[in-house]
Amino acid sequence: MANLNIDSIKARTFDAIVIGSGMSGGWAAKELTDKGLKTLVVERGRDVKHNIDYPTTNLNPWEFPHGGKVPQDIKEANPIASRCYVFKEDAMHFVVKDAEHPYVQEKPFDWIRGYQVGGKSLLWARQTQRWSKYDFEGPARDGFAVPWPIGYDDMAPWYSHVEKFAGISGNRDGLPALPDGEFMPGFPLNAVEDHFRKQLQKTHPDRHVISARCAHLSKPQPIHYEQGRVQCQNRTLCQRGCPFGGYFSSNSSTIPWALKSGHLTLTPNQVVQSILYDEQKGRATGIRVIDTHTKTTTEYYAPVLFVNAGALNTNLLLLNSTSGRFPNGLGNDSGVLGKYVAFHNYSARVFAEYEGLKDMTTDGRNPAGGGYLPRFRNVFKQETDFLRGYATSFGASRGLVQPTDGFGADLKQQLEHPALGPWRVSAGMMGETIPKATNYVRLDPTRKDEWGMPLLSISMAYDDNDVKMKQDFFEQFTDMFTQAGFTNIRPQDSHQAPGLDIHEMGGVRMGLDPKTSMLNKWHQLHACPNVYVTDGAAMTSTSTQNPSLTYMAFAARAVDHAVSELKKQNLKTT
Amino acid sequence: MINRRLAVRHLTILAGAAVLLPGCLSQTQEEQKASYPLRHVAMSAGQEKLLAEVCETLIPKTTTPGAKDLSLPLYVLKMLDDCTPAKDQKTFMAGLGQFDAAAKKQLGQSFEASTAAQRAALLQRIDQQPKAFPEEVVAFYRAARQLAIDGYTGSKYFMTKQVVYELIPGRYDGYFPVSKVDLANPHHGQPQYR
Repeated sequence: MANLNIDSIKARTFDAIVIGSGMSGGWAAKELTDKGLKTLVVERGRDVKHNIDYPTTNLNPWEFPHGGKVPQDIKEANPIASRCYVFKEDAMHFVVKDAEHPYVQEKPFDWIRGYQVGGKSLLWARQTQRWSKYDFEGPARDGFAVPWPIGYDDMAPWYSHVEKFAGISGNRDGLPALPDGEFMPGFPLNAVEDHFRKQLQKTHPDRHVISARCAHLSKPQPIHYEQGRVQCQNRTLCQRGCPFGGYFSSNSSTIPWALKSGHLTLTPNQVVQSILYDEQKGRATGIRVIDTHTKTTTEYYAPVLFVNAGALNTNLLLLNSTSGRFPNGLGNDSGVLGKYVAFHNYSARVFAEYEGLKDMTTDGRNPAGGGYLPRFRNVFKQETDFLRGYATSFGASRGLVQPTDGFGADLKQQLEHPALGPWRVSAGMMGETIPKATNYVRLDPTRKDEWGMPLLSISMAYDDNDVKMKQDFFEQFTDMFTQAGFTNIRPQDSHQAPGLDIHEMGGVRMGLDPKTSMLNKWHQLHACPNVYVTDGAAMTSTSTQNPSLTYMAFAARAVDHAVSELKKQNLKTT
Repeated sequence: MINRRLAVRHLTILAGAAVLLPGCLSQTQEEQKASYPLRHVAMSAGQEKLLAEVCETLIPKTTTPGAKDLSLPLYVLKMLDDCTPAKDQKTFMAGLGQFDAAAKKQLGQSFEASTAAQRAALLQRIDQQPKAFPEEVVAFYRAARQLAIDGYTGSKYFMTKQVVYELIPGRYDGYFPVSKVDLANPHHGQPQYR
């Protein structure tokens, strides 16, 4: 009996455990297994195997039961998920349904989640920009949050490392505010996007329209073929899962790579309830998981743990991992765990039309989506009455239009013979929000979910800085669009709640001082250094970049550190 | 005088019979359910038939397939039943219920008994003089028309033969001269309706 028990514990003991298989968890798994560590990846959702579990990927529009629309009863049962742009008939099976995973909104917050192997990496918008030194220096310069314990120079080699493997397309634009990376050719701007770029050079030389940088294989390299991925085919049906592996996801890239190493054990359908802490040893020893179907609990053990549950769920897990030593959540000596969460302000757009360049259109589809304007406000010094700034997505397109006022044979004629419509342009704001103690997540004191986890209670809201910044965005783009000759300019405030940006960050922030932060510069919990947090929860501030690339680089950099610490036997005690 | 009264009476009886006759015949159809298993909407086989004729009037068979050939009425039914808010379903059904009465008032006979030209003229009148019709009839017509158009432009036929959908474009050109676009050619490479 005793031997059996020892064998069972041995079978449940690994060199490393990764909690979560999304964007950053996939990277942690890949890096750990590359370094030969026997790694367990625990995923709360079901398995989604590349090219096997993409049920809609090759469907034509007419093959969908409802032409792509979400049936009304599903819509009404899922008001939160329905607000997400990928919640359509082709990809709604990858989005968490409202009733299955409830949470508490102390203030309105649309929490969009993807519970499956690969997480939201299947669904992301694939935009990838490096942070610059000006982004990392933000909190210290402007006096909010706490200073980042790392800077651009710490991250640059790791950005390169993940970019080469993931495959990033983009141009070397030479902009201080948006460092260049390891790029495959960028997807070109179209005629009107390019027109706006040239106009801005004349009217606002410090503002740049560049090709959006994205995780698509525009010119695959041997490392991508080795992953079984080939050139992006411009389908722009990415959210279904890509049969070509044309864009980066955990499913197409890091997870199968890690599995191929023979060092990875992947266990889907296991919710991690808590991280186990050994008071004698002074370190975390493993995790307790509950099977989502059988509800049986199991413990797994490893000398080092990576928490990549997805920003807010990482907060939930640490808050729920209590012990005599950590009554308020693992590593939470400072009391900041769950606080200083933030997001990106995506609630503003400006639409317009362009009467020029009528002799031009586009052919095929652009997976990058179009252009990107790096932040131009307060980059090098404070210039406005609000802190920080916004990056902007910018796209132009020409649709097909046809009058539909005919009847019978005439109507058919109209539908069958469309005309090219006007050029339509749109700019989308991606604003930095300031982390504050008053924006927080915490455990609901009484309510629990089906698996015994306390419900996460979320309290996040916009503030005056966000209001001022949005006003500036509207003014600046109305001006710039006017000067570019665009017409019918229409600023639009979506009034959307925080969360729909799907860029929730922080709560387990990095910092130099254990009294005011949770993680050190290597992503280790200050008070429990064999636990690394390398997902969005680690973010000290949000800046304006799409964050996934930074999480990938965090994970790779932290694994490198963890493995060298393991070799030095430094993770054994505090 | 008497003769004229008699004639009017006979006419009234005839008209009444004309009103009653299809009504009597459709009794069985009204009792029958629609051919598609509907979850939310209660539609009779008779109403389904009428809806099919409205769709066919909007998208008729010409040298190319029409609504019935492409099963558009079934598409409209499914979208009505699955993807339409309850309030709009109610209005749609109310309008469908009143549609034949409106047709008789305008055409002097049922929609189904009318010629294709008469049917088209009626729909056109609803479109252009909505105030002359009950609100629900106009709402029904507008919704059915939009669904029929969606069904047509989203059909396999349309997306493979008319404005061709490309699942795998494999290219992007941001500076494509309009002079090279041949919209008469279904394979013109321009964005699809959906």
